[in-house]
Amino acid sequence: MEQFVQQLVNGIMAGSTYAVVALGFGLVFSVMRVVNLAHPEIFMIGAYVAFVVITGLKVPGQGLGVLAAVALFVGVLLVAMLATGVAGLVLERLVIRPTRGTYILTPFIATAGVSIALQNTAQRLFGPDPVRVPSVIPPHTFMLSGVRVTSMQLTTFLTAVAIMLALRYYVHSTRWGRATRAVAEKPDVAAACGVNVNLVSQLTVSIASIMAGAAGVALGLLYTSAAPFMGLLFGLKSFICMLVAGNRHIEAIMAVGLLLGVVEAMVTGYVSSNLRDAVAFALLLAVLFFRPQGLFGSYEV
Amino acid sequence: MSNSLLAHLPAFWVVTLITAGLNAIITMGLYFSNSAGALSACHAALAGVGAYVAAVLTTNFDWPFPVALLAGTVTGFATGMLLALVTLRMNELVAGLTTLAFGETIVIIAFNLDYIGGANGFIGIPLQTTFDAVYPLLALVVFAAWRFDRSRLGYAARACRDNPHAAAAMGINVPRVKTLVFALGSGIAGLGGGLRAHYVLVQNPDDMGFFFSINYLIFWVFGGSYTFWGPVFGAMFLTVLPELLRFSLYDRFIIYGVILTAIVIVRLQGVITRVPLGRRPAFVAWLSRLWRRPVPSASLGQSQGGR
Amino acid sequence: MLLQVSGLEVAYGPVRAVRGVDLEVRQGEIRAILGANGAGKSSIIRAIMGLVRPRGGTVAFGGQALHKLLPHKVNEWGIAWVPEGRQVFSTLTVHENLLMGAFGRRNGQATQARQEQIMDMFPRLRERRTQLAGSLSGGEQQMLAIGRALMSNPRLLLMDEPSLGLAPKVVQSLFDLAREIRAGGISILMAEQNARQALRVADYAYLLEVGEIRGGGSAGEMEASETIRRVYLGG
Repeated sequence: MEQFVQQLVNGIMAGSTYAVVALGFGLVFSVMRVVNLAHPEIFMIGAYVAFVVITGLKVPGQGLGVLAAVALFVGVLLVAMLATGVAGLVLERLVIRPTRGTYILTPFIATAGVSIALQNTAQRLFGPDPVRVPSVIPPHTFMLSGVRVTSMQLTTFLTAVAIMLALRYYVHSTRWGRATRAVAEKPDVAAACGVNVNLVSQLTVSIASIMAGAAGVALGLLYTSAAPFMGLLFGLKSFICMLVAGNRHIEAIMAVGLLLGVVEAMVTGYVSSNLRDAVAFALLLAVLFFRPQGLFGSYEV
Repeated sequence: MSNSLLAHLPAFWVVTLITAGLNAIITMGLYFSNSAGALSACHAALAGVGAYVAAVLTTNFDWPFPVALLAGTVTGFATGMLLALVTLRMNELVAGLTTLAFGETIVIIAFNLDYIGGANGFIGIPLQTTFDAVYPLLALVVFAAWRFDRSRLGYAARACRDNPHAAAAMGINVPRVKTLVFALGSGIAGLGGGLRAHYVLVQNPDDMGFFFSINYLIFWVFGGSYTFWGPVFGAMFLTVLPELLRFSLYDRFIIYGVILTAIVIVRLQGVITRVPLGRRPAFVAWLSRLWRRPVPSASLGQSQGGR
Repeated sequence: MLLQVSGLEVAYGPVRAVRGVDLEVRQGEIRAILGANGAGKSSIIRAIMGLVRPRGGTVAFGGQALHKLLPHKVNEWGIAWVPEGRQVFSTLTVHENLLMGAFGRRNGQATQARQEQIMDMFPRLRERRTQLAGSLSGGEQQMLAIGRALMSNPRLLLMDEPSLGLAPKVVQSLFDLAREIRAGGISILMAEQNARQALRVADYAYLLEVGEIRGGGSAGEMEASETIRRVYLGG
């Protein structure tokens, strides 16, 4: 029983990052009908920004007080989010806006080109091997009724939750969030109501990119490494989360992300760690076979 | 190599040309598979299935190469047919994603099957593929595509792609056409995969993954998915391009990525295409005058329901 | 002259949907574009709204040239759109749909007041204020679509096939509503297949066939004409 709860907790911690990246995919897809293949690379940029900032500041890995550590973490997060937000803006203006609305594969391939360029730029700048990202959070293991949780896991989870709550608030309770939902459903009608659809497009991609960047920082620190291809598998799984959840409710994507994390943890713990990566695809096949519109429904289908 | 012209080229370019030809064959498979509106996101896996079958037959059972290739082609065909049947009732997007999942599942199965080498791949494949094997077969496939374009099946497939309801109303058996066409394309993929395995001499599960399937999709769309020679052009251009950019290993792919993106943005329908609305870019119109009158598309409207 | 359309050309690829159309709407008028399915009525409306870029011709509104503007700018200038088939935001509540209508107007208080006005006009909407718009009936959705368009205090309302898919009684009240809107100082340009009903309320009507204006006249003239009676009003 203890192992079950431990794996459950591990899974939720890991799953929260899947959820954040999946939300970014989902946001851009449902608002603009575009699959942004460069999204995982923006996630990767977040991790590398953390690497650059932390090693650049020559921060000592140990010996930081809790307050200082948290402040540093938040600082790194903000820098990464700024960088990825700008990257998202540029991506939207140069690549996504010209290609959206046409055949669904066109922005797909255009962003694929960007992702290839970004992956290789990272290789060029930092080498093909993973670099070590020193963790700024003092390592500490909490014991909560027999379950082990590390401080970094907790930080990652809390960051992810904060982001998701912020996104939810934005989408449901703000003017532009409402406009975003309207554009996701019927862009023409929204435009005729006075919504600048191009602006919504930029906002959406920026927000998705900021989220991916934050997730990148969190994951980079969690695994203390950043690599040029870290986005590939992680991105694919997050993408699958988006598909399985359907694009009707953002809460669905959050739930599926967590679910994936949990199921993966269970499979790793109880069955075999080799099969961990297969879980996502099995889940995809299983769900889509019975409910092609995703677990929680979508606008189309 | 019997072609004396080839003897003058540096070995490196021969390799590139053969690789380009192999990619072209596999991408032509996509031309068939996707002609009825499906989106095959597991094409590399289908090629891999054919590759493994052909490789095992020549290496472990000493089958003659052409027969093994044929077996690989048939296996690809059958697998494609199975997949098509499974995705028949799904909507386009979901079907595409299912093919994606299917492909990845094949990869994972291959990883875990020790008989075919598991994670280390299947090695020891005899070198059977030469320039003289690849290009005639490519020509054959392209010829088949050209005939397909003008055949009843080809028209039916395009009708299914552009408007399945209207196609059904015209009496076309949409499920049968979609399945057949997808299977054909998968068979060609199996052929290409088998050829490739006997050139590279190793077949890895990785080669069947999503990344490579995406590559083939990119070749297909980039070259122009509406003409039968578009995929060939796309595959060859995009295979040769990185080799032309002979800077450092990473720079060339950075530039490759940038060029890919730029071309897609500038030329939204793919580089060489027949715009299905009857207004063709001047370059394409000029080229078409060199051939006979090209085949008209089955409908006026742009497919995929774009505005 | 509130709205002036001259020589409008709209084409989708090689298909010319609208060929050299001239029409106008005066202040305080209801004008109708009559024609069969596929005649090009929607294309004219969409071109005025800026949803599709005309291949030629001009659209002027109160002297301002609109044909190069994006839809949200057209809305800013005072034109609102009631799309064909209602097109409410089904995943937003009734309240949120109305708020969307006033998106261009940033004044929170004025929007609040306007919303109250609209809900006075449509009490059923007030009842269903927090319901998802997708759960409303066809007639209610049409009310919502119109209410949403009115939220921005437009000078001109574009209505695309408002009677489509609605029960006859609902259609009656719909056209009565159009009269009320005109009485409130808002002009209407509507594209309608239901010529009989449209001519009841319109001041002037155009006849559109295969993208071209084949004729036009006041409602009285139209009703009196033999050909019109036969072809469009069923004798």
